[in-house]
Amino acid sequence: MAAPAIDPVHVYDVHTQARRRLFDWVRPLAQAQYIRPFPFGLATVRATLIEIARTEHYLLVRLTEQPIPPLDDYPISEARQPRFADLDALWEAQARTVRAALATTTDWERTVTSEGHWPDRVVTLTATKAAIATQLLLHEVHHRAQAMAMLRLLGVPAQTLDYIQFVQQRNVRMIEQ
Amino acid sequence: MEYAQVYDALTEARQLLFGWVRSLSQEQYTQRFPFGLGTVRATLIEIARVELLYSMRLRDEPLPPPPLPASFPISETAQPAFADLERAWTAQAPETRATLARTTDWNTTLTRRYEQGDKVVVQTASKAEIAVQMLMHEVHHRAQAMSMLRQLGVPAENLDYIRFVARREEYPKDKAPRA
Repeated sequence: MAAPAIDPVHVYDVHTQARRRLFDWVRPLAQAQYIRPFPFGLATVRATLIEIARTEHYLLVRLTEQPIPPLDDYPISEARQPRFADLDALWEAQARTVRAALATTTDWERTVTSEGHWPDRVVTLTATKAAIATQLLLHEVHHRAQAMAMLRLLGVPAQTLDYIQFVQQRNVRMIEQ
Repeated sequence: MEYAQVYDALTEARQLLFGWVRSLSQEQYTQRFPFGLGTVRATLIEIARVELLYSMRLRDEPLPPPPLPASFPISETAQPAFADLERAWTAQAPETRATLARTTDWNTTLTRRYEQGDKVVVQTASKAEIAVQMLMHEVHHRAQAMSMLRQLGVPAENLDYIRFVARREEYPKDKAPRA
């Protein structure tokens, strides 16, 4: 099957670079700042970063056609990673797994159906692997923007993690008089 | 994972976003927030004008040097009210989509050269990189716009890509089909 026009591994590599910069902004926060509530998004930097990492894990499970675990068994949560250092350590390892899954996937048009089990109902979700990977990439951008807005409100000069700045060559030279 | 398909999902999501923004008064549309580009208006103008900028770049059309001049077709001056921007963006979107759909040479690199004060700046990127940037840029700033809308009391939520391209079915526990 043909490779997708958008190269998910390459985009994920850029996300990983941008995430390291984001982490450098988050690491100096006091715990009180990390969990300070704001009136938008998921309310705290912690909840926002947990959401990105947890959804990445959830979409990895779907992409690799594994059963979706019950909510209580999820490896990523605010209870399991209360401090940023906990999440930081876990995410590095997860990122390598995600990258490997994206790099080894070839059947992008294959449709995957996943089941989520709730006490009273079953939810089935059906999407192509290409759609799942695209969601994984865009979901991070969306919530990263919320985390950056919170960081700005905390006085951290979080700015411009634009994709293009990691991939575009930019040469500057003085105009000769 | 084709660029035009992703743009289609963004366009569908944008209709929901527009529905939320349409309900704002002009005062709310220009109310200041201490993050991002400061207002819903500035944020939406930023998305639309950068979309135009990148689609022009993909078509290898001449571009003005940054910062974009007031004469650029999308600006707070040209579209002061949301209705103005909605009209301009709705007209622009099919051309953006067509540009993405007809591009096949994604690895072709494009060079943009401009003078800025006493410097010459040369930017080089492939068409693929420019298209990814255009799509990601909208998602990033749309999140900021949604954060502002929430603070204006508008229940803006869940414009996730997957909801526009996946099928979701729910069954009572005892009636679920076997996977």
